[in-house]
Amino acid sequence: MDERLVFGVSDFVAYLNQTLEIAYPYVTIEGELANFRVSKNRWVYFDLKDDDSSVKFFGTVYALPGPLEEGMVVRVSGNPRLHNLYGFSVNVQTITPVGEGTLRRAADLLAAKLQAEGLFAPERKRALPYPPQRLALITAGESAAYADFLKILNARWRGLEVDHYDVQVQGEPAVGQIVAAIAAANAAAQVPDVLVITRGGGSADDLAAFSTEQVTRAVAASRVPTLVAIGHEVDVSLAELAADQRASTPSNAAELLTPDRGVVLRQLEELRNDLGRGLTRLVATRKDWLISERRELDRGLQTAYQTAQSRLEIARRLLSAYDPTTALRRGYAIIRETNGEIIKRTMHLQPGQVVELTLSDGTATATIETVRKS
Amino acid sequence: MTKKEAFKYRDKAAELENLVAQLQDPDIQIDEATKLHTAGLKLIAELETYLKQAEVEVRRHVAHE
Repeated sequence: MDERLVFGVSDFVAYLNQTLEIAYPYVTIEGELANFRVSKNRWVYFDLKDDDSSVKFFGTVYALPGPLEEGMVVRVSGNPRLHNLYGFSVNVQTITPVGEGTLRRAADLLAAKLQAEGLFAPERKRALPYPPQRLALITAGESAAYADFLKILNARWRGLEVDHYDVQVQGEPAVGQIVAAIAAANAAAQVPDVLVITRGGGSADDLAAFSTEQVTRAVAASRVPTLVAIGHEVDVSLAELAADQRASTPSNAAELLTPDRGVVLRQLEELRNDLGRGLTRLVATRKDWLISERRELDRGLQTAYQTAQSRLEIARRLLSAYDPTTALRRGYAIIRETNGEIIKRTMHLQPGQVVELTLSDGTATATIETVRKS
Repeated sequence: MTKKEAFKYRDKAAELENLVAQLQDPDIQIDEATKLHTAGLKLIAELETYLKQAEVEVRRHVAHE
């Protein structure tokens, strides 16, 4: 050992940090999470350990992938440093849960947290325009998802404006790119009616970006209604739960967004037929009505004539019943005094009186011989 | 069918209905009934002409679809 190499404490810390920066500027360590605590909602402290060793870590909450729990296996990247007061630690840059059990647990914890915040609440869901006029498509331009979505979309409907945001849908940059694309679509000069985020199926790792807190929150916060379609078979990603609507595949997303032109055309054809039938029926109904009105009119007039006729007949009969000439024809005669007054009783007669007789066909003058009262 | 024509049809149809109702009055005078009948026949002729035209129009529409 060189006797001249004696450090002051601060010098040693500085020297060691310098050496670390050259030798191990950035390390990635995988281990079991222990002694995890968050201070002032900002600072994060934890240890990673295996059976024999333990290493201290320090970082901010912004580096967290979501809620973490003791015992999880995580992969942490960062810069190793010796702090002048608190000793050695690794300054955390990223934390990634690894191992199936840990990933699932981490996802469950995040899901529970976001659920509690109400991000997946059914009442938050907005209806998507059907069909939309302008949509933002966030997916990898080279992917089958991109091709499938556009193919089905064009087969079903035309004239839709599609703003494509080309992003990586897996790997480290995916989360940042997707979040940025959601923000860009929301801030676009021509705001789309709907935002479609899609990718095909893949392993749990491939789909991880769509279950991160950042992407899920960005989807939930989007002012433009969202449709998230991540092709997979078992698990639903958190971004899909936060979306206004989810679809099972990119093709399914296109189907949900647009009606089938063929079906719409057939419906239009049916409507057109109905319309024609309705018009024809209207005219037919009115013609029928006119015919029945004509009948009523004739019947009305006929009835009026019949009524008048029968009244006339009654009057005629009454007239004839009171007609004095009818009685004269039957053999009766009217006796009048010479002054023309009709004599109806014997008390107005006396023998020798001259009276005028009126018969059916003429008159006569007679002298009364005797008067007998009956 | 323009709005004006539709209105005219409705008015004439109402007039005809009113006229038929008047004819059903048992105390109506014959000359009044005859007058109403004549007016009714005239209205029916007008409405018939209108409907025939409408029918031709409808056929033309339906055929052109």
